[in-house]
Amino acid sequence: MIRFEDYGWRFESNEEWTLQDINLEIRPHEIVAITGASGCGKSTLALAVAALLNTCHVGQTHGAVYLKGREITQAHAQAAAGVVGLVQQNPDVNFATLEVEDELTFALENRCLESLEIDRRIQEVIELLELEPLRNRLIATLSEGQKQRVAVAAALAAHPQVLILDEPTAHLDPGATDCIIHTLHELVQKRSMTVVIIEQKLIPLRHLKPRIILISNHTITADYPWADIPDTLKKELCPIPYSSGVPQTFTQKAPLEIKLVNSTVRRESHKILDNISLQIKQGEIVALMGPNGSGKSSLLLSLLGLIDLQGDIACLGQKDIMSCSTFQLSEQTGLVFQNPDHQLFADTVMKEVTFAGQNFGRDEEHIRTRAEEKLQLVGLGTYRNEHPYRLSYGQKRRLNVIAAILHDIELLLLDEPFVGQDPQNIKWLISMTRQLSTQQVAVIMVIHDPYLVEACCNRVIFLESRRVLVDAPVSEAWETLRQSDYAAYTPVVTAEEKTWPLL
Amino acid sequence: MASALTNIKFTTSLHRLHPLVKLIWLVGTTLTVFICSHPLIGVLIVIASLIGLWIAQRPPWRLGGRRLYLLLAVSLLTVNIWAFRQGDKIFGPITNVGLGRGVLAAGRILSVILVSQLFVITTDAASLGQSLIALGLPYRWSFALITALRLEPLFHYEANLIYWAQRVRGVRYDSGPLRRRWLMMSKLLLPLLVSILRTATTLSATMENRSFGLYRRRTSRRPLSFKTIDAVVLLSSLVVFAVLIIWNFYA
Repeated sequence: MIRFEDYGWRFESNEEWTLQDINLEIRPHEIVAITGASGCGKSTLALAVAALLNTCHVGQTHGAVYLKGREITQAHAQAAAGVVGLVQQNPDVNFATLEVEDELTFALENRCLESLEIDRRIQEVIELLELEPLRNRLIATLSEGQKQRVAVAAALAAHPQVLILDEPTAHLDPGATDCIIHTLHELVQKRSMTVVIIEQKLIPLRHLKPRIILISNHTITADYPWADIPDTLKKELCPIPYSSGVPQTFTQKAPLEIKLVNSTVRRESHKILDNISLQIKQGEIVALMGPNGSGKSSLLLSLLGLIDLQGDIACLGQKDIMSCSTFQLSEQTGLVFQNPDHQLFADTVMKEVTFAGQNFGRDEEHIRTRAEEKLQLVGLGTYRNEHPYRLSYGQKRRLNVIAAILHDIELLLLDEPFVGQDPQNIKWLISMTRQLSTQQVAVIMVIHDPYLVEACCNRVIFLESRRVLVDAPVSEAWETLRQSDYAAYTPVVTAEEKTWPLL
Repeated sequence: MASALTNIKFTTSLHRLHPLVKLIWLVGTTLTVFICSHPLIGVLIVIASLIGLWIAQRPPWRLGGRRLYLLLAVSLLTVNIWAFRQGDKIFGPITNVGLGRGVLAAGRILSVILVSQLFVITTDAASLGQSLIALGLPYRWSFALITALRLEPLFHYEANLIYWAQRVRGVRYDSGPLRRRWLMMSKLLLPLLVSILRTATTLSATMENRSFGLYRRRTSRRPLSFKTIDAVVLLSSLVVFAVLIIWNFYA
């Protein structure tokens, strides 16, 4: 179905080849998972299969790509349209229209199909993916999981023979992830089609048992059926040691860091969280969990006065959140958002790291010395005079974190820090949060992956329906969640999963 | 039917009207208020637009930007009353000429704003795109409008995130030298621009993959039909515009 022969691609703006010497054959009806570190070229490979590299980018190529026996190396996207269906990572950039039904018809209208045929195909995908309740909804009103299902349905409506999904679960909560994987499982059984999944997290794919292809150093370095993946490769893919969680109890009571009593969080006058109470102490690493849209990110923003928080008590250390400005609340706090690009403001890496320290009036010499140390420590020392946008995705994440903690913080807020990160960067982030914890810095992170919670957090706060459903140490929280229909949010360790070192 | 700007579904009679009829309303009203110099005409159009907005489930007290519009209208009225002192005095420094000019200016600006709001609130972007295609606009252009509307909330949200990311790292827009605040404001733009370009590239790749632009034309599953009610409303509107313009010259 798909064949690469000595294929390579280099973006015009890059000196290095993104893909090199790729030799790969994907047979019809096969399920393939392509994995590797961020920036290794996984998504570029997917774009090559969909003939989108030459359409949307400028670059140099060598070798050849064949789709159904036809060479498409230099072809326009339309050579693969109809044969290959592509679903992008971020659900929001999959849609060209405003309503679900319009989205399902989009490709069919482009292909000039008759109304009757369009109706038939729409009905088919709606039934296949159980989308009837969403049929007349506006896309903007759908949850992330629903958007991803609509994106898959829209791709399937065109009857592609190959379905490519680029990190389809990256933005989803465990419930929605399970739903998408279940959908793919059904699809593979009902429609014999070739499925290519680009994914960092392989465990959610266990029910699909895909063939695993590892890309590193811009080329394919491993290719195994699911059942035959050697332990050495498993370790390479999941380098976090089993049962590596931090101690779950504290030997001494630390001073109070955050206290909310009967507090309500509002966003544009809509109540996001209602009447919640919680306390977080210094040195704790708290996992903030819950379904998409349950108010996790809003809670982080409200702690810094970025959105409205009202209550009987709302304190950040000695500061009253309700009366202090964001500037005052941020002086001892760092916040890292999910997308690394959203928080780069300076023209060099060094200026980026010292940016907050200067704004908060810290001693410039002290900040510069610490910045030098930290940059060396995280492997960015040689990039100190580079523009931050020249760094890779993983390097930008390291830079964000260093830039957020350098002004002597007591609290670090992380909004889905692991999304899109490769195993090495995940490992670095975990060790960094643990290190901060030993320095009595409290860490609150929005996180979906229960295995990563086990690896780095000592407490879980689970939000649901505007309230705190669970607030307990990790293992206790899993028990409660399993009894509350939220088992998907807990680690489900089967005999097979135990063979993976991550677990 | 979803309105273009608000992303909210409504099914009022105004929402169901053919988009071209509403487009002609918009153009017709704008031309009429600027051709006519009688202050009453602007007032009549403002009242008609407010009634239209009410029918479209957007009464004046729920209208976005209402304080700004009101302030603008009052300012125009005041400036004109202050600037034009000739004519008969009505009350204190207010003359009939100054009041007339003020009402005319405020009426014109409010008419254009309110009719535009009515158009945006009651018009489904997809249908508008379809009707523009029917008028001969290439469908790629029409989709540029639809995708822009589709992505607007996403970019608005991202702009907010970037602004917050600056503030939590000590950037202050409420104090400090103006030059520094301006510099920081300009630094908001780079991450936003990067995000917009990235999103546009990804979306265009997705659209190309879904056969967008494969043929010169594309079919439509729900072709728009021009119903009798559309024709009646369109003709009545044209008659009203003509009557207003004629009355303006004879009044």
